[in-house]
Amino acid sequence: MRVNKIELYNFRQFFGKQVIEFAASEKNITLVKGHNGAGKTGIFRALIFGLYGEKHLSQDNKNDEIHLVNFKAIRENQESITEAKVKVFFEANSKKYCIERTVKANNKRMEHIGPPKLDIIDGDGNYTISSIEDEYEIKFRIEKIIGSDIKEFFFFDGEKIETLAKTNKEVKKEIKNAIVKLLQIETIESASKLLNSLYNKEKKYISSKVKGVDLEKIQHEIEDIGKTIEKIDRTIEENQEELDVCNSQIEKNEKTLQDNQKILELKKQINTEKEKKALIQKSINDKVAYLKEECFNYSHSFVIKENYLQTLEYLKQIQQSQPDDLPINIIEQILSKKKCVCGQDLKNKEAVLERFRIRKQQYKRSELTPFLEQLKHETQNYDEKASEILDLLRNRLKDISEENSELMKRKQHIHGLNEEIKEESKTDKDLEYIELELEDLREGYEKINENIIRLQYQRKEKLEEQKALETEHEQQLKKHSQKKFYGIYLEKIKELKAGFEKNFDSYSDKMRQALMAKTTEIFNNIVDYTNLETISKIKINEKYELEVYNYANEKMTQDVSQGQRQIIALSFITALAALAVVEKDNKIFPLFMDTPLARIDGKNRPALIKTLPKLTNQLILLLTDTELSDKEILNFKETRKIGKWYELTKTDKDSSIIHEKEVVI
Amino acid sequence: MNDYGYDFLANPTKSMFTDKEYEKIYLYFRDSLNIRYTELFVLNAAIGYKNNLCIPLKKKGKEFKSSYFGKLRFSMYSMILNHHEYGKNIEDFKDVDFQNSVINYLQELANGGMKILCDKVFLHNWDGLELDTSYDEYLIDVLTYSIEETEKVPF
Repeated sequence: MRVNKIELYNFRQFFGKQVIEFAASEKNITLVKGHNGAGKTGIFRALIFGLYGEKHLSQDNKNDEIHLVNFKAIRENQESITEAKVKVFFEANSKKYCIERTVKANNKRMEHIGPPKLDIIDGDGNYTISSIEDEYEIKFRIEKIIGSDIKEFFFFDGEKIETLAKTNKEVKKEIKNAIVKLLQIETIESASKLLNSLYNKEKKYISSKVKGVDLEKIQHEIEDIGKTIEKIDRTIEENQEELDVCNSQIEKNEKTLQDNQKILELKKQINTEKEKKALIQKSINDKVAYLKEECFNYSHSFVIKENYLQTLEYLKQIQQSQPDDLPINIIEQILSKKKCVCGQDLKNKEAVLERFRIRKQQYKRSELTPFLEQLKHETQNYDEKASEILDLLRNRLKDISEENSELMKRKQHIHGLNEEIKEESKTDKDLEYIELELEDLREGYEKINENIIRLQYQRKEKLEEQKALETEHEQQLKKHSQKKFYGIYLEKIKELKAGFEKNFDSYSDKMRQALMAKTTEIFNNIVDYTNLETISKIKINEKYELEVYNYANEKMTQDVSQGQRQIIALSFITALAALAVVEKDNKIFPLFMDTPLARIDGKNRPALIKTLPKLTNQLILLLTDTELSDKEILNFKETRKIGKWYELTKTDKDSSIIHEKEVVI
Repeated sequence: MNDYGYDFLANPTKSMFTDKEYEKIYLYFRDSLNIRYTELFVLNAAIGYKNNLCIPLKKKGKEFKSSYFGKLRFSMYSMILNHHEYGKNIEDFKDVDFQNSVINYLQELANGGMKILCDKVFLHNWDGLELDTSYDEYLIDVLTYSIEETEKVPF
């Protein structure tokens, strides 16, 4: 199948008539670039509406009202009914088709979908005599070309990458649903469930008819145990979900810490440096305090040190010229008693007395004596201290200077480490908090795991108990059943049920194998070479969980990075599309991809862009401006596969226009 | 009136002044660095003495008693006794006029010393009004300078 053209008229954001012709054959890529809200998904919606008459896409909430008629057209056409139209031109099985659908809205935006119209042109260019307007016939013909059940596989929604990149219950459900849909075996699954219910109902009925033994009681016991097992299963499931959440958070924290391992090491170095710095600072502070207390008050004394010697010399001269060895009262006593303090009589020693008289006259100098003594003493003290303190101060200042240099080095080192942290920093998160949270999470994980193991053991016990009762019930039933027919009937249902279950598992296994092979193949094509060394195989296990293996065939699902998960998810979705188109009678279908690059690392984009055109015969990519930068445009050009290039421009809030751009290689 | 004889700087009635211009430096040293007003005054006087720089006070700032010098006064006496005009005449220490002249001389020496500190030590951390309090190395700088002064040949 190939979609050639789509014509939109007042459809969704597209006011008036707008046309897109899709590229095919050699140059099979159509690029449609537009900002969010410009109408990228509107184009896919138009295709689905045109082909199947459906208003909702799989990602829509079915309760949401979807308006197909352009609001601006309604506003400008107040008095009457406004019509929107979609025409899809496509070809399949050597025939060309044109399907047209209309939708009408009144001025209150209430919509009514009109009857479709299908024109068929055969290989020779002959149109059918008249258009097919019977809705059922059109549906039948379209379903034959491209079944509505697989339509979602050729529409790739970039949002799904995010969903599938997680490791929770939803992902398992998504994978299982995809496999069931791909195989179209929902009916087998439903039949299996129906038979199970029928088996239980019949068994209950037969039990009530058996006389002589209380089979009903055993049946009730079996049912009660069944309920208990269901309850345990629910609890296990809840615990499992908790475990998944916990595990995912552990992974996230571990990744954050791993990504920031260098930061943690740098922070430890900073702390060590800070401790050393604090010790140096304390030593400096102690020395400075000592200088304040013990040195500063002598600081002037170094400056005028030579002064003290001169002062002392001067004081010495004063003292020598005027010895003041006796106080005035003693001199006066000697003169009045004419007797020396040593007892010698001086009455006849006039010359000695005369000397004492002169000393008395010169006594004014003796008033100076205590001051001279104190001045001399303090000057001497300063003179001595000046030398002593000067040496000490020199040493201390030298030590302080060295310590300050050391402190400066530490500061610069800390600054350097902080700069490194800034460069390394990928998160603003508090890493210490994450480390603590990780410990709690690991503890929590262990507890939940222990709980699950305990519940699984309880479940096993209950199952054994149930099995024993079922065996007893069956034996009693065989022994006492009056109506053999019922027993045979029940046996047949049981066999049938087992058959369906086996078939389901067998089909499912086959599809799982195909899906994992395709996913791995696409992954290997897309992924950056550095990752190829680590991931060798992507598996989907019996529980529909995605598992990743390395080249040593060791499971490494827990070690896969978020970026790798996104590539795996994209490979998986693309593999689904690839298998969907092949499964349907080996026909090739176009692949629509909405924002496929948004969640993919820049380094993986070139390989993805190179691989995508090989997946299908027609690739229609709806891209935002951030997905289609100059770099990606160059990558696309290198594929030499761009056939058409359009840009969506929003002209006002209810209107977008489609421009075709020239493709220049 | 003068019970302190020759030791006139111990007289609590004798007041001394620093220049209003440098008052904030004295107060910063006192309040933030725990350096007494008189300690910085004597150091400034010694620096002024060594550099023979006397600068008259433009405007009297904070007043303090000369008796607050404690034993520091003996270094002041030493400077006086070696002065070309006031020196070598200890007898005059009792003379009130002499005392007042000498006190004025010491104030001018301290003023000169402080100017030298501002010009050579505080540099751009002194904006003419106050010191930049975000800088915390003043004590080290002043002590380092005082050592440098010892190595200098007197005027």
